[in-house]
Amino acid sequence: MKILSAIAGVAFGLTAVLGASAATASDRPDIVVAVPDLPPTLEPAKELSNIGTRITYDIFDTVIRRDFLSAEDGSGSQLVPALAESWEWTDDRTLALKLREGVKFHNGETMTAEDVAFTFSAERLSGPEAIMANGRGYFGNIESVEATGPLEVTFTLKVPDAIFEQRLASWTAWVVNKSDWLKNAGDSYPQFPVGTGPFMLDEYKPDQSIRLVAFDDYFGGKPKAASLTFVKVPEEAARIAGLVAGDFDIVTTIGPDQIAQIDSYDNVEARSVVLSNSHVLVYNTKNPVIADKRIRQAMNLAIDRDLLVQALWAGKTVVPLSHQYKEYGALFEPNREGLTYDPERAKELLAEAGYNGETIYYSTNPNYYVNTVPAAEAIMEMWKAVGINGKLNLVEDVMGVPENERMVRTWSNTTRFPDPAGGLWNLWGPHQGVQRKNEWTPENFNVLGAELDVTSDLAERKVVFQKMLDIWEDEAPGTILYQPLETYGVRSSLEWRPYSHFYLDLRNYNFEDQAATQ
Amino acid sequence: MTLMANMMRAGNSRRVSMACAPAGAMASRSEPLLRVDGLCVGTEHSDLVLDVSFDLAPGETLCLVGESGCGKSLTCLATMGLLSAPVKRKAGRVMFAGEELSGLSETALLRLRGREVSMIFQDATAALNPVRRVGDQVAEVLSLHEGLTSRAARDRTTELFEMVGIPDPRARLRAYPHELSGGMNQRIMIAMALACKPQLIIADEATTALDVTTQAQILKLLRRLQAETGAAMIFVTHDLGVVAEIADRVAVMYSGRIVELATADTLFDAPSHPYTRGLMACRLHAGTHNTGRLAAIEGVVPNPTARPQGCAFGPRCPQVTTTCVEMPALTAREEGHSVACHYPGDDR
Amino acid sequence: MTFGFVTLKLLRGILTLFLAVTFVFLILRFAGDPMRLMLPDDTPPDVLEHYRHVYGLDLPLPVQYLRYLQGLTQGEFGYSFRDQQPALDTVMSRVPATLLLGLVSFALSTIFGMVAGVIAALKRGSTVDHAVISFSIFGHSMPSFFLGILMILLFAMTWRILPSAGMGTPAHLVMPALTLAVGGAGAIARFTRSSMLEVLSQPYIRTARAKGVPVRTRVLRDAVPNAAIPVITVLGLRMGGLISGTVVVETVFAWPGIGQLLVTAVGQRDLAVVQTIVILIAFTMVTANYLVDLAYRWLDPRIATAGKDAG
Ligand SMILES: Nc1ncnc2c1ncn2[C@@H]1O[C@H](COP(=O)(O)OP(=O)(O)O)[C@@H](O)[C@H]1O
Ligand code: SF4
Ligand SMILES: [Mg+2]
Repeated sequence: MKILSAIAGVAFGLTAVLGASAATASDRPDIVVAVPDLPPTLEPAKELSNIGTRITYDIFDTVIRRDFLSAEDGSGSQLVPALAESWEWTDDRTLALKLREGVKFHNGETMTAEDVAFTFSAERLSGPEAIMANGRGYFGNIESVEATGPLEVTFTLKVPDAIFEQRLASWTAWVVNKSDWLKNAGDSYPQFPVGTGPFMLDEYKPDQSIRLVAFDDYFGGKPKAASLTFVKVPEEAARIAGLVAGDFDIVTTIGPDQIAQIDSYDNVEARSVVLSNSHVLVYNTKNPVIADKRIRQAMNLAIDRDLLVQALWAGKTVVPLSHQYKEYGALFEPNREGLTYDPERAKELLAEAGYNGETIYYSTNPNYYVNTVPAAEAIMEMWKAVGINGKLNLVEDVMGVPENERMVRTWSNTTRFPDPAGGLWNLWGPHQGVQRKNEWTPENFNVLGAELDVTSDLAERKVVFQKMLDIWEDEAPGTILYQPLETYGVRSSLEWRPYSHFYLDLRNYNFEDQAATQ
Repeated sequence: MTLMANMMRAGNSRRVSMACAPAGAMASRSEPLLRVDGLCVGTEHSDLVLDVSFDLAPGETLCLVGESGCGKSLTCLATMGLLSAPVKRKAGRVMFAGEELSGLSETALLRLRGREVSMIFQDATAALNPVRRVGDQVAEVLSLHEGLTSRAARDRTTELFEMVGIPDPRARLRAYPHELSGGMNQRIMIAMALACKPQLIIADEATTALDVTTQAQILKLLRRLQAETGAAMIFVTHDLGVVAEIADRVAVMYSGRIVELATADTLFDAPSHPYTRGLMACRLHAGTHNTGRLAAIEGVVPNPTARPQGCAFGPRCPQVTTTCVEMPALTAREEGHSVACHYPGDDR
Repeated sequence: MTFGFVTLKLLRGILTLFLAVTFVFLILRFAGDPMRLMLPDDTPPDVLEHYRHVYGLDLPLPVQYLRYLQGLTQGEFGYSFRDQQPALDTVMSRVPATLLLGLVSFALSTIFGMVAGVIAALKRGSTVDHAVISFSIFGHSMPSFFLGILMILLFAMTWRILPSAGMGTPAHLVMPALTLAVGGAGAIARFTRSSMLEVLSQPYIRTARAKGVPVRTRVLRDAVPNAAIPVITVLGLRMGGLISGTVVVETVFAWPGIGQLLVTAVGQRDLAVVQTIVILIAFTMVTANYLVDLAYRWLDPRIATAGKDAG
């Protein structure tokens, strides 16, 4: 029966398509974006991957917005008002937001403090039993959030948090409409919650396309595109072909080797951005073979990162100065020596440590990170040059290898808000993978991290953070290889810039279609 | 016998070229229904039938006899215009009812085949289409050549089935070949061949695959039907018993050539070619039916690509002499009796 | 078509399905933790644990297996990790797209392959024959991925006469259906050709000629029905692979069918969905097998009798 009705559905669909006339002309362009995959839900606190956020970013707003364009390279971290007009700390655990007036949700309702309070509520996001379980990693520190006026929301934290505003501008912080959310939540959460963003959902075809249309009552002004459709095109070559053919205006997830190809066509171009993300290696410091930190230091010193960048990324990506990024602002130390390449020193260290050519296993999933296999093969060679006997383990699950072979694994570190609390401390601290998996258990590092959490003076924070970096580099529980490049293919006449996150922002301040306005 | 053979040898001056010999031999008879004249069949690299000529009068039955591989089937197929690549007619003519078949297009031949000339094949079960009902296969001839409606064709087919002695004919129409016995299938082939009352029937070993009882029944049937319709028939067999029963005249073939051509009576009374006599001797040996090989004559038929020089029968011939490296021509020994041997009828 | 035959077929089909289910169940469980793949890298361990519990992944493997089997007997295919929808609904919603693509390309490859094979056999050794053989080798050796990309480059990028990806208008169907059909048509043409050559040398074809049957009728009525019998096996295989065969093409052309869903679901260890698709694929194969048997019986009366005799 199902199959029969499904066939009938196809037949009906085909006739509908054939019968439909071309879309009515409009002075605003219809923008089509080809992406490798589409999310199963548009609940913004659920789909935190690149697949989901590049779409939900245009449907939802945060109370405070991170202005990526405040830095030339699209990684700006300046905070600007969004749904909140202003905010104020009453003490180091209490933040009061004053919301913008007259902001409309896609369903026509006006946004109130109730909606914001509900968004961050214990039941939805921040409590131990929260439906959106991912929220706790970001907002578990909220003790209470209350509507203290029609347009005033007050957050009370369990402990002081120097980067709480950055959190409010970050992931899972997108504001939803309370009544709509509760009405459609069913057993868990609604598949398509209502937001306040410049585009609203028009049509969702699973695994096929997601069409958004302009929300003309958007508080940031009438959007400059009539619609924004994300089309699933898994094959890179097909995305590029569609871009060149004019089927798509923007295509995402283009490999660095395709940049020249795209630029060779008229009318289209590649636009790249270095992501707030690093490809890293994790060393299991508990494995006897590499338990001596001098061996791990030697492994790091033997890697010629610049060569990797040149060979695998056409020189377009960068190696950060250790586990710190410019977007950290005052906490960033530009004079750090960084991750150095010194094969001679590596050899000395190996000799001192009495390394005797024991096999060092390097496990990676060949399909997970871009260029992971060529990088691994190059590193094997680099290690061999200093006498390290590396062996490549291509596996589905890097944690699934036998205990004695668990030595080196690939990982990636995304800096979700521009602060070590969203980077080094979050990712290498006691609450995340490395320490949870008992690969590295540094006491002094953790003490410093706890101190970082409660220090709000920037100068003091910087000192603490730099000490943590010293420990991380010295104990070498892993290393950073480089920050990968994200490349988009774009119709040249579109004024649009990619961000250091995967968000594909088509708000008016980042979008103009020269072809449409001519 | 020796005398006669000597006489023939003495009459060498009467030796005529093969191409015109049959015409001469048959001159006294009425206008023949079929005239095969100097027929040569082969592939690019081999000659499989060489210079075969014979006539056939209406109502007459000619038997083609000889061991397997001597070219009987190819002669039949060439007569029907049924040769298929790589085998082709290389020379000679086939005249049928005053028309030169060998000059007709395939389309014209298609109109004749099954209507004026029919063929019955050796293994009827293999010769019938395994996935079609036998009734349809027979009725097809009728709708094709006589334009009968399917209903009329089916009724006619039922009658034909009855005529060839198929029990419960109406039910058999719907049978498939694999559901019937070999004898039954041969009756169906015969019904198919006779459906349009052809003037000539070519039966290529139509009874060889059958057991003795069935064979006798089929022969009887063919004789009866031939008498009823007045059709002429070429009957291929290597069983002289069958020949004795059915033939008016006999052509003995060896290695692609006719080596002796005579009336059945003459042939049995005075076989003149050593090969024919070998065949006769074989007939007296039990158990050589159906094998197609002659136990009494040692050796085997030469490969068509490697025939001995001169008389092809030489290597097996008890009377062979050095003269035999020269090819003996088919020569009229008496009226209606030709032999291709340097020493015909000689029983040294 | 006796009762015994049907029962045997049915039992064999069920056994095939059962083995497929068990196999894929085990493979998937040993291939890694779906929750770690589904949730972001830095998901707190207690959240991981929470989801494992929700999906019953914390239970011992035999218990999970028995539960799953028990569910199946009640038509319960489990829930997708990805969107919490019933896996069967998710999979069934993609069936029409794949069926459309699969059947159109199946029809194309069957018609084109058989016609080409028949003509090649009739004109053996001619230019046409050589062309068909070359095409067949081309279709066989050309990976559909490569062919698909090539078509996109030509039709969508260079000539711009067809849409590059997606589903919607009949124009969208052209490239994926052709890509899929080429390989199949090649195989079918090759098989038809050799089967046809075999049949053309059979005595019954000569009989037909001796009966005066014109060449067209001879080919269509006598030769093709016989030549088609062995070709049925190839057709059956292609039909059995109708769903699994579309994986690459659906991915290349962004065709929203089962194949693409399978790629996504495997990548994300969406157990219930992968299992449901595997069951569907196995079911398609079993069904195709059954259809092949029926087709044999319909085309070849000899088999029907053999079955009658045996049963
Ligand atoms: N299609 C063919 N290609 C090559 N040789 C053939 C072909 N058909 C028959 N022959 C050869 O021609 C000779 C005569 O064959 P045939 O007429 O069938 O013999 P008969 O019917 O007397 O047994 C045999 O040597 C046989 O091998
Ligand atoms: S010609 Fe010579 S070899 Fe030939 S049959 Fe006569 S006697 Fe024998
Ligand atoms: Mg023969």
